[in-house]
Amino acid sequence: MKVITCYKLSPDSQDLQVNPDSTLSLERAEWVIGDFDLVAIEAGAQIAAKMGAEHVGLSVGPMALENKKARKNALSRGMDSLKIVMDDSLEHADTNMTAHVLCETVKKLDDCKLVICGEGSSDYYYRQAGLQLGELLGWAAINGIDDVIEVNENSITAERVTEDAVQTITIPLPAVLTVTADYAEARIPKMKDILGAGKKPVEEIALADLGTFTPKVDVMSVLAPENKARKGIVIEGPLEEAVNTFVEYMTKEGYL
Amino acid sequence: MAKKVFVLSNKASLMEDLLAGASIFGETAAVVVGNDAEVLEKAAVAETVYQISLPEGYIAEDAVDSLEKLVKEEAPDVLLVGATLTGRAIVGRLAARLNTAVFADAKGLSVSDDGVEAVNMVYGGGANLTQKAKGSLTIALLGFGTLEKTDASPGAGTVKEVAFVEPAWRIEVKETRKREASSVNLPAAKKIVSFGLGVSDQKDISLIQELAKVFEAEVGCSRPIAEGLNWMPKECYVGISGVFSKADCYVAVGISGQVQHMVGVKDVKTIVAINKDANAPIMKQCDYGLAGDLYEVIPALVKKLS
Repeated sequence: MKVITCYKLSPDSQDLQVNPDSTLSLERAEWVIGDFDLVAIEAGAQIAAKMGAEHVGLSVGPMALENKKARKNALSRGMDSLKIVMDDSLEHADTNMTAHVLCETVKKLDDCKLVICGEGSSDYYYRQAGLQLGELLGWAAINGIDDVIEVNENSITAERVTEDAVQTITIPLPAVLTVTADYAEARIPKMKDILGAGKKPVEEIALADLGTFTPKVDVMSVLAPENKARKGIVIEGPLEEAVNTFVEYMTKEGYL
Repeated sequence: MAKKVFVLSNKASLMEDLLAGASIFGETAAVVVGNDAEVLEKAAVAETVYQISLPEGYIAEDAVDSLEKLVKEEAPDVLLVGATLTGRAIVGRLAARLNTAVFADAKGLSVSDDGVEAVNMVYGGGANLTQKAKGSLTIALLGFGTLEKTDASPGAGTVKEVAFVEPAWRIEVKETRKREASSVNLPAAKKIVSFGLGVSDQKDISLIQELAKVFEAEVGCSRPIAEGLNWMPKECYVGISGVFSKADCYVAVGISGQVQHMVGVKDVKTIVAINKDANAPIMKQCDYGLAGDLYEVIPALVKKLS
Protein backbone atom coordinates (compact mmCIF):
# COMPACT_ATOMS: atom_id res chain seq x y z
CA MET A 1 0.00 0.00 0.00
CA LYS A 2 1.14 3.54 -0.76
CA VAL A 3 0.61 6.93 0.85
CA ILE A 4 1.40 9.80 -1.52
CA THR A 5 2.45 13.21 -0.28
CA CYS A 6 2.41 16.10 -2.73
CA TYR A 7 4.80 18.98 -2.33
CA LYS A 8 5.82 21.98 -4.36
CA LEU A 9 9.13 23.66 -5.03
CA SER A 10 8.97 27.45 -5.00
CA PRO A 11 11.60 30.10 -5.50
CA ASP A 12 12.82 31.31 -2.13
CA SER A 13 11.12 34.69 -1.80
CA GLN A 14 14.23 36.09 -0.08
CA ASP A 15 16.10 35.66 -3.37
CA LEU A 16 13.70 37.57 -5.64
CA GLN A 17 15.16 40.48 -7.52
CA VAL A 18 13.14 43.38 -8.82
CA ASN A 19 14.06 44.67 -12.27
CA PRO A 20 13.88 48.42 -13.07
CA ASP A 21 10.54 47.88 -14.85
CA SER A 22 9.10 46.23 -11.70
CA THR A 23 9.15 42.77 -13.22
CA LEU A 24 10.82 40.06 -11.15
CA SER A 25 13.92 38.07 -11.78
CA LEU A 26 13.97 34.56 -10.37
CA GLU A 27 17.35 33.76 -11.88
CA ARG A 28 19.23 33.86 -8.63
CA ALA A 29 16.50 32.29 -6.57
CA GLU A 30 17.01 28.92 -4.98
CA TRP A 31 13.98 26.64 -5.39
CA VAL A 32 13.01 25.14 -2.07
CA ILE A 33 10.25 23.08 -0.49
CA GLY A 34 7.80 25.40 1.26
CA ASP A 35 7.41 25.32 5.05
CA PHE A 36 3.84 24.03 4.88
CA ASP A 37 4.90 21.27 2.53
CA LEU A 38 7.71 20.21 4.88
CA VAL A 39 5.01 19.69 7.50
CA ALA A 40 2.94 17.73 4.95
CA ILE A 41 5.90 15.44 4.22
CA GLU A 42 6.30 14.83 7.94
CA ALA A 43 2.57 14.14 8.30
CA GLY A 44 2.70 11.77 5.31
CA ALA A 45 5.67 9.93 6.81
CA GLN A 46 3.91 9.53 10.16
CA ILE A 47 0.66 8.37 8.57
CA ALA A 48 2.44 5.95 6.21
CA ALA A 49 4.33 4.49 9.20
CA LYS A 50 1.04 4.10 11.07
CA MET A 51 -0.42 2.21 8.10
CA GLY A 52 2.71 0.22 7.34
CA ALA A 53 2.57 1.77 3.87
CA GLU A 54 5.20 2.94 1.41
CA HIS A 55 5.57 6.73 1.40
CA VAL A 56 5.78 8.19 -2.10
CA GLY A 57 6.53 11.84 -2.82
CA LEU A 58 4.96 13.62 -5.78
CA SER A 59 5.89 16.99 -7.17
CA VAL A 60 4.85 18.71 -10.36
CA GLY A 61 6.22 21.99 -11.65
CA PRO A 62 8.74 23.70 -13.90
CA MET A 63 12.23 22.41 -14.76
CA ALA A 64 13.53 23.74 -11.44
CA LEU A 65 12.46 20.32 -10.14
CA GLU A 66 15.70 19.00 -11.62
CA ASN A 67 17.34 20.41 -8.49
CA LYS A 68 19.07 17.39 -6.91
CA LYS A 69 19.42 19.05 -3.52
CA ALA A 70 15.68 19.58 -3.22
CA ARG A 71 14.99 15.98 -4.24
CA LYS A 72 17.40 14.71 -1.60
CA ASN A 73 15.85 17.04 0.92
CA ALA A 74 12.40 15.51 0.34
CA LEU A 75 13.75 11.96 0.37
CA SER A 76 15.65 12.50 3.61
CA ARG A 77 12.40 13.23 5.43
CA GLY A 78 10.84 9.80 5.53
CA MET A 79 9.94 9.28 1.89
CA ASP A 80 10.71 6.00 0.13
CA SER A 81 10.61 7.23 -3.46
CA LEU A 82 9.74 10.23 -5.61
CA LYS A 83 7.68 10.89 -8.72
CA ILE A 84 8.47 14.11 -10.56
CA VAL A 85 6.59 15.75 -13.42
CA MET A 86 8.65 18.62 -14.86
CA ASP A 87 7.63 20.99 -17.61
CA ASP A 88 8.10 24.70 -17.90
CA SER A 89 4.47 25.09 -18.95
CA LEU A 90 3.69 24.36 -15.29
CA GLU A 91 5.50 27.43 -13.96
CA HIS A 92 2.43 29.53 -13.19
CA ALA A 93 0.00 26.63 -13.45
CA ASP A 94 -3.38 27.50 -11.97
CA THR A 95 -5.03 25.43 -9.28
CA ASN A 96 -7.16 23.48 -11.72
CA MET A 97 -4.34 22.61 -14.12
CA THR A 98 -2.07 21.56 -11.24
CA ALA A 99 -4.81 19.34 -9.85
CA HIS A 100 -5.34 17.71 -13.25
CA VAL A 101 -1.63 16.89 -13.61
CA LEU A 102 -1.49 15.53 -10.04
CA CYS A 103 -4.63 13.50 -10.70
CA GLU A 104 -3.26 11.80 -13.80
CA THR A 105 -0.03 10.96 -11.95
CA VAL A 106 -1.83 9.52 -8.91
CA LYS A 107 -3.99 7.40 -11.24
CA LYS A 108 -0.81 5.77 -12.58
CA LEU A 109 0.13 4.50 -9.15
CA ASP A 110 -1.72 1.43 -8.03
CA ASP A 111 -2.50 0.43 -4.48
CA CYS A 112 -2.91 3.95 -3.17
CA LYS A 113 -5.94 5.29 -1.39
CA LEU A 114 -4.54 8.20 0.55
CA VAL A 115 -2.92 11.41 -0.65
CA ILE A 116 -1.60 14.07 1.74
CA CYS A 117 -1.16 17.72 0.74
CA GLY A 118 0.13 20.68 2.71
CA GLU A 119 -1.95 23.64 3.79
CA GLY A 120 -0.69 25.76 0.91
CA SER A 121 2.39 26.47 -1.16
CA SER A 122 4.87 29.08 -0.02
CA ASP A 123 4.71 31.01 -3.30
CA TYR A 124 0.97 31.29 -4.08
CA TYR A 125 -0.67 29.88 -0.96
CA TYR A 126 -3.97 29.23 -2.76
CA ARG A 127 -4.80 26.21 -0.55
CA GLN A 128 -6.82 24.69 -3.39
CA ALA A 129 -4.90 22.04 -5.34
CA GLY A 130 -5.43 19.21 -2.83
CA LEU A 131 -9.19 19.67 -2.72
CA GLN A 132 -9.48 19.87 -6.48
CA LEU A 133 -7.25 16.80 -6.80
CA GLY A 134 -9.53 14.77 -4.53
CA GLU A 135 -12.60 15.74 -6.46
CA LEU A 136 -10.99 14.96 -9.84
CA LEU A 137 -10.00 11.52 -8.55
CA GLY A 138 -13.56 11.01 -7.39
CA TRP A 139 -12.24 10.58 -3.86
CA ALA A 140 -13.21 12.24 -0.60
CA ALA A 141 -11.35 15.51 -0.08
CA ILE A 142 -11.15 17.62 3.04
CA ASN A 143 -8.96 20.37 4.47
CA GLY A 144 -7.84 21.55 7.91
CA ILE A 145 -6.67 18.12 9.15
CA ASP A 146 -4.69 18.60 12.34
CA ASP A 147 -4.26 14.97 13.36
CA VAL A 148 -4.99 11.54 11.94
CA ILE A 149 -6.24 9.50 14.87
CA GLU A 150 -7.00 6.17 13.26
CA VAL A 151 -6.79 4.58 9.81
CA ASN A 152 -9.15 1.71 9.09
CA GLU A 153 -9.76 -0.37 6.00
CA ASN A 154 -12.39 1.97 4.61
CA SER A 155 -12.12 5.16 6.60
CA ILE A 156 -9.95 7.57 8.52
CA THR A 157 -10.77 9.22 11.81
CA ALA A 158 -9.15 12.61 12.10
CA GLU A 159 -9.23 15.91 13.90
CA ARG A 160 -10.13 18.97 11.84
CA VAL A 161 -9.61 22.51 13.03
CA THR A 162 -12.00 25.14 11.70
CA GLU A 163 -12.07 28.84 12.60
CA ASP A 164 -14.18 28.24 15.68
CA ALA A 165 -14.22 24.52 16.43
CA VAL A 166 -12.29 21.29 16.55
CA GLN A 167 -14.16 18.48 14.84
CA THR A 168 -13.58 14.77 15.13
CA ILE A 169 -14.51 13.46 11.71
CA THR A 170 -14.64 10.22 9.79
CA ILE A 171 -13.55 10.40 6.17
CA PRO A 172 -14.28 7.58 3.76
CA LEU A 173 -11.33 6.15 1.82
CA PRO A 174 -9.91 6.73 -0.71
CA ALA A 175 -9.24 10.34 0.24
CA VAL A 176 -7.09 13.41 -0.17
CA LEU A 177 -6.35 15.23 3.08
CA THR A 178 -4.79 18.66 3.34
CA VAL A 179 -3.05 19.04 6.67
CA THR A 180 -2.55 22.18 8.77
CA ALA A 181 0.77 23.86 9.45
CA ASP A 182 0.43 22.61 13.04
CA TYR A 183 0.02 18.93 12.13
CA ALA A 184 3.56 18.04 13.13
CA GLU A 185 6.96 19.57 13.45
CA ALA A 186 9.00 18.94 10.30
CA ARG A 187 11.95 16.72 11.19
CA ILE A 188 15.57 17.70 10.88
CA PRO A 189 17.08 14.95 8.73
CA LYS A 190 19.95 13.02 10.30
CA MET A 191 23.21 12.35 8.45
CA LYS A 192 22.09 8.74 7.85
CA ASP A 193 18.83 9.97 6.26
CA ILE A 194 20.67 12.42 4.02
CA LEU A 195 23.13 9.76 2.86
CA GLY A 196 20.32 7.25 2.31
CA ALA A 197 18.24 9.78 0.34
CA GLY A 198 20.64 9.69 -2.61
CA LYS A 199 19.98 5.97 -3.08
CA LYS A 200 16.19 6.19 -3.17
CA PRO A 201 14.42 5.88 -6.52
CA VAL A 202 13.26 8.98 -8.38
CA GLU A 203 11.01 8.55 -11.38
CA GLU A 204 10.62 11.40 -13.87
CA ILE A 205 7.32 11.31 -15.72
CA ALA A 206 6.93 13.34 -18.91
CA LEU A 207 3.96 15.67 -18.91
CA ALA A 208 3.03 14.53 -22.42
CA ASP A 209 2.68 10.95 -21.14
CA LEU A 210 -0.01 12.10 -18.74
CA GLY A 211 -2.18 13.93 -21.27
CA THR A 212 -2.83 17.41 -22.55
CA PHE A 213 -3.44 20.10 -19.98
CA THR A 214 -4.81 23.56 -20.57
CA PRO A 215 -4.60 26.51 -18.21
CA LYS A 216 -7.88 27.97 -16.96
CA VAL A 217 -6.42 31.45 -16.48
CA ASP A 218 -4.11 33.75 -18.39
CA VAL A 219 -1.23 35.22 -16.45
CA MET A 220 -1.23 38.94 -17.27
CA SER A 221 1.68 40.15 -15.14
CA VAL A 222 3.92 39.39 -12.18
CA LEU A 223 5.11 42.69 -10.75
CA ALA A 224 6.73 43.94 -7.59
CA PRO A 225 4.12 45.76 -5.49
CA GLU A 226 4.16 49.51 -5.34
CA ASN A 227 4.90 50.62 -1.85
CA LYS A 228 3.03 53.48 -0.32
CA ALA A 229 5.36 56.31 0.59
CA ARG A 230 5.65 56.52 4.37
CA LYS A 231 6.64 59.55 6.42
CA GLY A 232 9.54 57.78 8.13
CA ILE A 233 9.63 60.08 11.16
CA VAL A 234 11.81 58.46 13.82
CA ILE A 235 11.40 59.78 17.35
CA GLU A 236 14.41 59.29 19.60
CA GLY A 237 15.64 60.84 22.81
CA PRO A 238 14.84 60.74 26.51
CA LEU A 239 11.76 58.68 27.35
CA GLU A 240 9.41 61.39 28.53
CA GLU A 241 10.27 63.74 25.70
CA ALA A 242 9.92 61.01 23.08
CA VAL A 243 6.56 59.91 24.47
CA ASN A 244 5.31 63.50 24.48
CA THR A 245 6.40 64.07 20.90
CA PHE A 246 4.77 60.82 19.88
CA VAL A 247 1.47 61.73 21.55
CA GLU A 248 1.54 65.11 19.82
CA TYR A 249 1.89 63.43 16.43
CA MET A 250 -0.91 60.97 17.19
CA THR A 251 -3.17 63.80 18.32
CA LYS A 252 -2.40 65.76 15.17
CA GLU A 253 -3.27 62.71 13.06
CA GLY A 254 -6.56 62.46 14.92
CA TYR A 255 -5.95 59.09 16.54
CA LEU A 256 -6.16 60.36 20.10
CA MET B 1 -23.48 44.04 -19.66
CA ALA B 2 -24.16 43.54 -15.97
CA LYS B 3 -22.90 40.22 -14.71
CA LYS B 4 -24.79 37.70 -12.65
CA VAL B 5 -22.94 37.45 -9.34
CA PHE B 6 -23.54 34.82 -6.66
CA VAL B 7 -22.21 35.29 -3.13
CA LEU B 8 -21.74 32.32 -0.80
CA SER B 9 -20.48 32.25 2.75
CA ASN B 10 -21.13 30.33 5.93
CA LYS B 11 -19.97 33.32 7.95
CA ALA B 12 -22.39 36.21 8.49
CA SER B 13 -19.74 38.95 8.53
CA LEU B 14 -18.31 37.77 5.21
CA MET B 15 -21.75 37.39 3.64
CA GLU B 16 -22.49 41.00 4.58
CA ASP B 17 -19.10 42.27 3.45
CA LEU B 18 -19.11 40.49 0.09
CA LEU B 19 -22.70 41.46 -0.71
CA ALA B 20 -21.93 45.10 0.13
CA GLY B 21 -19.21 45.11 -2.52
CA ALA B 22 -20.51 42.64 -5.09
CA SER B 23 -23.32 44.78 -6.51
CA ILE B 24 -20.76 46.86 -8.39
CA PHE B 25 -20.26 43.87 -10.67
CA GLY B 26 -23.92 43.36 -11.49
CA GLU B 27 -27.02 41.66 -10.23
CA THR B 28 -26.32 39.83 -6.98
CA ALA B 29 -27.86 36.77 -5.44
CA ALA B 30 -26.88 35.22 -2.11
CA VAL B 31 -26.44 31.50 -1.61
CA VAL B 32 -26.98 30.19 1.91
CA VAL B 33 -26.16 26.63 2.91
CA GLY B 34 -28.01 25.65 6.07
CA ASN B 35 -30.29 27.82 8.14
CA ASP B 36 -28.07 30.04 10.27
CA ALA B 37 -30.36 32.97 11.14
CA GLU B 38 -27.56 35.51 11.15
CA VAL B 39 -26.26 34.47 7.71
CA LEU B 40 -29.81 34.54 6.32
CA GLU B 41 -30.37 38.00 7.75
CA LYS B 42 -27.21 39.36 6.09
CA ALA B 43 -28.09 37.56 2.84
CA ALA B 44 -31.47 39.29 2.65
CA VAL B 45 -30.01 42.43 1.05
CA ALA B 46 -29.56 40.47 -2.19
CA GLU B 47 -32.33 40.39 -4.77
CA THR B 48 -32.58 36.62 -4.49
CA VAL B 49 -31.48 34.27 -1.71
CA TYR B 50 -30.97 30.68 -2.72
CA GLN B 51 -31.23 28.51 0.36
CA ILE B 52 -29.99 24.94 0.51
CA SER B 53 -31.36 23.31 3.64
CA LEU B 54 -29.19 20.56 5.06
CA PRO B 55 -30.53 17.26 6.37
CA GLU B 56 -29.98 16.66 10.11
CA GLY B 57 -26.33 15.97 10.92
CA TYR B 58 -24.97 17.20 7.58
CA ILE B 59 -22.42 20.00 7.24
CA ALA B 60 -22.03 22.71 4.59
CA GLU B 61 -19.21 20.73 2.97
CA ASP B 62 -21.83 18.12 2.04
CA ALA B 63 -23.64 20.60 -0.22
CA VAL B 64 -21.17 20.51 -3.13
CA ASP B 65 -23.52 18.43 -5.30
CA SER B 66 -26.39 20.80 -4.57
CA LEU B 67 -24.23 23.82 -5.34
CA GLU B 68 -23.01 22.27 -8.58
CA LYS B 69 -26.62 21.79 -9.68
CA LEU B 70 -27.55 25.35 -8.71
CA VAL B 71 -24.59 26.88 -10.54
CA LYS B 72 -25.26 24.81 -13.66
CA GLU B 73 -28.94 25.77 -13.69
CA GLU B 74 -28.60 29.46 -12.86
CA ALA B 75 -25.30 30.01 -14.70
CA PRO B 76 -23.81 32.91 -12.74
CA ASP B 77 -20.82 34.67 -14.33
CA VAL B 78 -19.06 35.10 -11.01
CA LEU B 79 -19.23 33.13 -7.78
CA LEU B 80 -17.73 34.95 -4.80
CA VAL B 81 -17.09 32.80 -1.76
CA GLY B 82 -16.05 33.87 1.73
CA ALA B 83 -12.50 32.76 2.51
CA THR B 84 -13.10 30.36 5.39
CA LEU B 85 -11.96 26.76 5.79
CA THR B 86 -15.42 25.58 4.75
CA GLY B 87 -15.49 28.02 1.84
CA ARG B 88 -12.15 26.69 0.64
CA ALA B 89 -13.25 23.06 0.91
CA ILE B 90 -16.45 23.69 -1.03
CA VAL B 91 -14.91 25.86 -3.71
CA GLY B 92 -12.01 23.53 -4.48
CA ARG B 93 -14.31 20.61 -5.12
CA LEU B 94 -16.82 22.73 -7.00
CA ALA B 95 -14.11 24.18 -9.25
CA ALA B 96 -12.85 20.69 -10.08
CA ARG B 97 -16.36 19.65 -11.13
CA LEU B 98 -16.97 22.78 -13.14
CA ASN B 99 -13.48 22.58 -14.62
CA THR B 100 -12.43 26.08 -13.67
CA ALA B 101 -9.66 27.58 -11.54
CA VAL B 102 -10.21 29.52 -8.34
CA PHE B 103 -8.88 32.98 -7.65
CA ALA B 104 -8.07 32.05 -4.07
CA ASP B 105 -7.64 34.91 -1.62
CA ALA B 106 -7.48 37.50 -4.36
CA LYS B 107 -6.58 40.93 -3.01
CA GLY B 108 -8.34 42.70 -5.85
CA LEU B 109 -10.98 41.72 -8.35
CA SER B 110 -12.21 43.57 -11.41
CA VAL B 111 -15.16 42.48 -13.47
CA SER B 112 -15.85 44.02 -16.86
CA ASP B 113 -17.15 43.08 -20.30
CA ASP B 114 -13.58 42.22 -21.06
CA GLY B 115 -13.54 39.50 -18.41
CA VAL B 116 -12.62 38.98 -14.80
CA GLU B 117 -9.17 39.85 -13.52
CA ALA B 118 -7.78 39.07 -10.11
CA VAL B 119 -4.68 40.24 -8.32
CA ASN B 120 -3.00 37.89 -5.87
CA MET B 121 -0.11 38.62 -3.61
CA VAL B 122 2.50 35.93 -4.23
CA TYR B 123 6.06 35.05 -3.19
CA GLY B 124 5.49 36.02 0.42
CA GLY B 125 4.30 39.48 -0.61
CA GLY B 126 7.19 40.02 -3.00
CA ALA B 127 4.99 40.29 -6.08
CA ASN B 128 1.49 40.89 -7.37
CA LEU B 129 0.25 38.28 -9.81
CA THR B 130 -2.51 39.49 -12.13
CA GLN B 131 -4.54 36.77 -13.82
CA LYS B 132 -7.52 36.71 -16.11
CA ALA B 133 -10.16 33.99 -16.10
CA LYS B 134 -10.66 32.09 -19.33
CA GLY B 135 -13.94 30.25 -18.84
CA SER B 136 -17.51 31.51 -18.58
CA LEU B 137 -17.63 31.05 -14.79
CA THR B 138 -15.16 32.72 -12.46
CA ILE B 139 -14.85 31.57 -8.87
CA ALA B 140 -13.08 33.74 -6.30
CA LEU B 141 -12.43 33.20 -2.61
CA LEU B 142 -12.34 36.57 -0.90
CA GLY B 143 -11.45 37.69 2.59
CA PHE B 144 -13.06 40.46 4.59
CA GLY B 145 -12.65 43.96 3.17
CA THR B 146 -11.35 42.92 -0.26
CA LEU B 147 -14.17 44.64 -2.13
CA GLU B 148 -14.97 48.32 -1.81
CA LYS B 149 -18.41 48.83 -0.32
CA THR B 150 -21.06 50.27 -2.63
CA ASP B 151 -24.16 52.15 -1.52
CA ALA B 152 -26.54 50.07 -3.60
CA SER B 153 -30.05 49.88 -2.21
CA PRO B 154 -31.04 46.49 -0.78
CA GLY B 155 -32.83 43.99 -2.99
CA ALA B 156 -36.03 42.09 -2.31
CA GLY B 157 -34.33 39.19 -0.56
CA THR B 158 -36.72 36.68 -2.08
CA VAL B 159 -35.86 33.27 -0.68
CA LYS B 160 -35.83 30.38 -3.14
CA GLU B 161 -35.43 26.90 -1.74
CA VAL B 162 -32.90 24.74 -3.56
CA ALA B 163 -33.41 21.00 -3.22
CA PHE B 164 -30.58 19.21 -1.43
CA VAL B 165 -28.76 16.66 -3.57
CA GLU B 166 -27.48 13.64 -1.66
CA PRO B 167 -23.70 13.41 -2.15
CA ALA B 168 -21.83 10.21 -3.10
CA TRP B 169 -19.77 10.44 0.09
CA ARG B 170 -19.69 12.67 3.10
CA ILE B 171 -17.69 13.60 6.12
CA GLU B 172 -19.22 12.30 9.30
CA VAL B 173 -18.76 14.68 12.20
CA LYS B 174 -18.59 12.59 15.36
CA GLU B 175 -17.81 15.36 17.77
CA THR B 176 -17.49 19.15 17.70
CA ARG B 177 -15.68 21.06 20.41
CA LYS B 178 -15.93 24.82 20.38
CA ARG B 179 -12.57 26.41 20.07
CA GLU B 180 -11.76 29.66 21.73
CA ALA B 181 -11.70 31.84 18.68
CA SER B 182 -11.01 35.50 18.63
CA SER B 183 -14.27 37.39 18.95
CA VAL B 184 -12.64 40.33 17.23
CA ASN B 185 -12.98 40.91 13.52
CA LEU B 186 -9.42 42.16 13.13
CA PRO B 187 -9.61 42.89 9.37
CA ALA B 188 -12.40 45.37 10.15
CA ALA B 189 -10.60 47.13 13.03
CA LYS B 190 -9.89 50.84 12.59
CA LYS B 191 -7.01 50.86 15.05
CA ILE B 192 -4.73 47.96 15.88
CA VAL B 193 -1.96 47.58 18.42
CA SER B 194 0.08 44.62 17.28
CA PHE B 195 3.09 42.93 18.85
CA GLY B 196 5.91 40.64 17.86
CA LEU B 197 8.84 38.80 19.35
CA GLY B 198 10.08 41.99 21.04
CA VAL B 199 7.60 40.99 23.74
CA SER B 200 9.65 38.39 25.54
CA ASP B 201 7.16 36.80 27.90
CA GLN B 202 3.55 35.73 27.48
CA LYS B 203 2.51 37.57 30.64
CA ASP B 204 3.69 40.84 29.11
CA ILE B 205 0.78 40.71 26.66
CA SER B 206 -1.06 42.57 29.42
CA LEU B 207 1.09 45.59 28.60
CA ILE B 208 -0.03 45.46 24.98
CA GLN B 209 -3.64 45.06 26.07
CA GLU B 210 -3.36 48.12 28.31
CA LEU B 211 -1.99 50.19 25.46
CA ALA B 212 -4.71 48.93 23.14
CA LYS B 213 -7.31 49.89 25.71
CA VAL B 214 -6.20 53.51 26.14
CA PHE B 215 -5.69 53.77 22.39
CA GLU B 216 -9.16 52.24 21.75
CA ALA B 217 -7.60 49.66 19.45
CA GLU B 218 -7.86 45.92 18.89
CA VAL B 219 -4.89 43.65 19.59
CA GLY B 220 -3.07 41.88 16.78
CA CYS B 221 0.29 40.15 16.51
CA SER B 222 2.93 38.84 14.14
CA ARG B 223 2.91 35.26 12.91
CA PRO B 224 5.44 33.70 15.34
CA ILE B 225 3.29 34.86 18.26
CA ALA B 226 0.20 33.02 16.95
CA GLU B 227 1.89 30.15 15.17
CA GLY B 228 4.70 28.59 17.12
CA LEU B 229 4.31 30.32 20.47
CA ASN B 230 0.49 30.06 20.37
CA TRP B 231 0.14 33.09 22.62
CA MET B 232 -2.67 34.50 20.51
CA PRO B 233 -5.43 32.93 18.38
CA LYS B 234 -4.45 32.34 14.75
CA GLU B 235 -7.09 34.82 13.54
CA CYS B 236 -5.05 37.58 15.17
CA TYR B 237 -1.88 37.50 13.18
CA VAL B 238 -1.21 40.08 10.53
CA GLY B 239 0.77 39.27 7.40
CA ILE B 240 0.95 37.33 4.19
CA SER B 241 -0.88 34.20 5.34
CA GLY B 242 -2.95 36.00 7.95
CA VAL B 243 -4.89 39.23 8.29
CA PHE B 244 -4.62 42.01 5.73
CA SER B 245 -5.47 45.25 7.44
CA LYS B 246 -6.87 48.46 6.02
CA ALA B 247 -6.89 50.14 9.43
CA ASP B 248 -6.45 53.88 9.92
CA CYS B 249 -3.66 53.33 12.39
CA TYR B 250 -1.47 50.29 13.05
CA VAL B 251 0.90 50.33 15.98
CA ALA B 252 3.59 47.65 15.67
CA VAL B 253 5.29 46.95 18.98
CA GLY B 254 8.47 44.88 18.96
CA ILE B 255 7.95 43.83 15.34
CA SER B 256 11.08 43.94 13.20
CA GLY B 257 9.33 44.56 9.88
CA GLN B 258 9.97 41.55 7.66
CA VAL B 259 8.26 41.68 4.28
CA GLN B 260 5.92 38.79 5.17
CA HIS B 261 4.50 40.93 7.95
CA MET B 262 4.59 44.31 6.25
CA VAL B 263 2.51 43.23 3.23
CA GLY B 264 -0.36 42.73 5.67
CA VAL B 265 -0.32 46.44 6.56
CA LYS B 266 0.53 48.02 3.24
CA ASP B 267 -2.98 49.47 2.94
CA VAL B 268 -2.96 50.91 6.46
CA LYS B 269 -3.21 54.70 6.52
CA THR B 270 -0.67 55.33 9.28
CA ILE B 271 1.91 52.83 10.46
CA VAL B 272 3.50 53.40 13.85
CA ALA B 273 6.42 51.39 15.16
CA ILE B 274 7.68 51.07 18.71
CA ASN B 275 11.03 49.35 18.62
CA LYS B 276 14.17 49.47 20.70
CA ASP B 277 16.28 49.26 17.55
CA ALA B 278 16.13 52.58 15.68
CA ASN B 279 17.63 50.75 12.69
CA ALA B 280 15.11 47.90 12.57
CA PRO B 281 13.64 47.47 9.04
CA ILE B 282 10.22 48.61 10.26
CA MET B 283 11.61 52.05 11.15
CA LYS B 284 12.16 52.70 7.44
CA GLN B 285 8.68 51.49 6.50
CA CYS B 286 6.57 53.38 9.02
CA ASP B 287 5.14 56.86 9.36
CA TYR B 288 6.15 57.31 12.98
CA GLY B 289 8.82 55.27 14.67
CA LEU B 290 9.30 55.57 18.40
CA ALA B 291 12.75 54.24 19.23
CA GLY B 292 12.80 52.87 22.74
CA ASP B 293 12.43 49.84 24.96
CA LEU B 294 8.81 48.79 24.86
CA TYR B 295 8.99 47.88 28.55
CA GLU B 296 9.65 51.56 29.31
CA VAL B 297 7.76 53.24 26.48
CA ILE B 298 4.43 51.45 26.86
CA PRO B 299 3.95 52.07 30.60
CA ALA B 300 4.88 55.73 30.02
CA LEU B 301 2.42 55.98 27.12
CA VAL B 302 -0.35 54.27 29.04
CA LYS B 303 0.22 56.58 31.98
CA LYS B 304 0.06 59.65 29.78
CA LEU B 305 -3.02 58.55 27.91
CA SER B 306 -5.02 57.24 30.89
